[in-house]
Amino acid sequence: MDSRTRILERIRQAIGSEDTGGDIEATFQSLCETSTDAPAQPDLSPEDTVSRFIAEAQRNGAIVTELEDLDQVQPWLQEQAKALATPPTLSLSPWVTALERDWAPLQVTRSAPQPFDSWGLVRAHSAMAETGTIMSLSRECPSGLLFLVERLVVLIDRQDIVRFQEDAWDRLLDGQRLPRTVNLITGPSRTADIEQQIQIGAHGPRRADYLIVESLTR
Amino acid sequence: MSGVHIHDPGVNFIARSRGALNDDNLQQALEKAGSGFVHKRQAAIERVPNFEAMRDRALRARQRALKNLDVYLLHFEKKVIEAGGQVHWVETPDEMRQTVVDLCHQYDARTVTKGKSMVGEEVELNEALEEAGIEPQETDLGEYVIQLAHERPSHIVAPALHKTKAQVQSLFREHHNLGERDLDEVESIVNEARDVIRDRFLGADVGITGANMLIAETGTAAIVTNEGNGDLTATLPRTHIVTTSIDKVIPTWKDASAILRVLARSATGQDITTYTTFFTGPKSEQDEDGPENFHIVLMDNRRTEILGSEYEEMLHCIRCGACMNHCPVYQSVGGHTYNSVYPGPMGAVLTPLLRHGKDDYQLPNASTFCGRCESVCPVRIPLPGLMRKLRDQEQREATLNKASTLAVKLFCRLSNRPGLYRRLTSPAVNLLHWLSGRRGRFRSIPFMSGWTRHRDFTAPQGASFQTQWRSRKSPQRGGSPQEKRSRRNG
Repeated sequence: MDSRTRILERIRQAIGSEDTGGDIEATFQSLCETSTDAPAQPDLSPEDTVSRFIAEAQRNGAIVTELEDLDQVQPWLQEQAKALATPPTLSLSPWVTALERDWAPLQVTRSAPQPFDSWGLVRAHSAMAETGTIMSLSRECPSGLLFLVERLVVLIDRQDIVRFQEDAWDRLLDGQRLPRTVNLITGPSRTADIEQQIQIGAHGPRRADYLIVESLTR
Repeated sequence: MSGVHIHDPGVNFIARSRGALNDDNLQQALEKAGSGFVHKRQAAIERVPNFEAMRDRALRARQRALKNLDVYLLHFEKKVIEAGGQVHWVETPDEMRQTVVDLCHQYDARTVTKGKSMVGEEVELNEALEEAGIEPQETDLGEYVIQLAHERPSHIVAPALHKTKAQVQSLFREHHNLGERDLDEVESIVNEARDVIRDRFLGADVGITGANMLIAETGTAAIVTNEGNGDLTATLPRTHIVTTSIDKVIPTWKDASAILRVLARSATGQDITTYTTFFTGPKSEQDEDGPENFHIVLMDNRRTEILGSEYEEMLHCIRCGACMNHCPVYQSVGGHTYNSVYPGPMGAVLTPLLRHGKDDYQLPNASTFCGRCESVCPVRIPLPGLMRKLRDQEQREATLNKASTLAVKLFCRLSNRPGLYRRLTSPAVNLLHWLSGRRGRFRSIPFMSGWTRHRDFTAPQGASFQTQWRSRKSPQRGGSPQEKRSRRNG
């Protein structure tokens, strides 16, 4: 008898169940159907979705900017880079690359982001108002890019902002194969491991910008 | 890197507490950490109007998971395999260590980056990797600090909570080539660690993380972090190994939300941690990045003994650390005093159940039963009740010959004989009253310095209660019903 069998046997003995040998998929589905339980969510009306998203994201340290369309993104980046002594290099997610836009004077790189002066420009799959969180999928954006850049700039289509996590799960679990990684990100990287003082910029980005664009359709 | 300094298990909890209370650095660190977590949690739960409903929903998710644990684990396994990953079932810490080492050998791993994993700490994984010639590199800042210090975590969320800034600075000076750089500010310490650890992420052969939850619905492992180290550990190396335990499984993504809504609020006072990440299988053709190999190592280590027992509620624990943040004992003596990777009230219950060590049964006694742990537990674990059951069990099984047990037995016999009790106690009461003199208190009593070092011991103030009762009652015996009523109400 192997460890798996012994562990399962002990579990069944403890909870008083039996190995019916039936289809595990069917058993699981029937359990899910018989034990539905409404979520306990924060208070949030549909009209407040975007304003709550902005407020929560800002409270969690993200810098939020609202833009009308994609054409305003490059001037915004240029303005942000103007004050810097060293021009940052820009790593793009595949969706942004496919836009085939000119990001000059920012220099686009395809190599791994450097520890300093590296910015990432990506598009969120969804955003959740309840906590000011964005969701990125590894089939749309390399997960590593989200963590290796010094400053992460996330494009968010206004229509992609949903109220709760459960709404984002509905968009995620759409019958497609799940991506290897689903990243939820809320503000910049941080640590409080030294005397409980919150320090922004641990291993991930030191700054997180959320650009809410009226419509990201090309 | 040499092994961890383990506290001598021969020294008991009381002796370790004494050491902790006299450790100035520890007391300084505890004082700084102390109320921070408590205030942040309070502010976070006040920001939502229905935190109590969130707690109930999270508890129901945990209860449902355990009720059909076999089904959820099997469905989880099926989905991991369908996604291209593998699940390894292990019964003991030894088996966990061997399985992870074998996997590392299978992939010719020389260096391993690690995200924080309490199960990894529970099985002392780093020591096993080192013995096998594989270099484990901790990447969570707190874990990195204690790895440099060769210590165990003292808190399940903030592993280096017992270290002061000055101690961390001195560790970095010893182990890093700092040159002229100064580390006066917390920012410079964090930047130093960021620089050193970044190269490790890029060069590691295998990444090992824990899991906060396993979602049966899709075979997904979830981690919650703030630094981003867990994600780089899981994403950049060719192989990702998750060290976890059977009690981490929950049925669905909606249940994951139920847990997430109470986890960060209870732990650090955040509505959600900066990063919450879900891993399903290795990288597939459709993914932009990720590891080629994905392994889940699923450990029992006596959790099946707890399941279905009078301690089952302990398996609801979601490892937020709120109980220790609110515990007056933990806040006085710190985590290492518990001699376990699980300290505080949750550790005082879990450690004896998982380890069955002789010394472990002292831990449930390390509580004032003030009840704060139960009142803040996001999944309402009745921690004082479970500790009381363990105390009871200890009295019945572990220490039949202890002097304290004999003393309690003697007292039981004596109190069943009121006449004998009075004859023995009355002279003793009079003697103590006389010895205490006018002060009415003792400054010191032989063999009771544990009490009298910090406070006086009050002496009996005259005749015993029973003697006084008899002397006051006798002349009033009888009388009209009205007089009796007036005496009762008076």
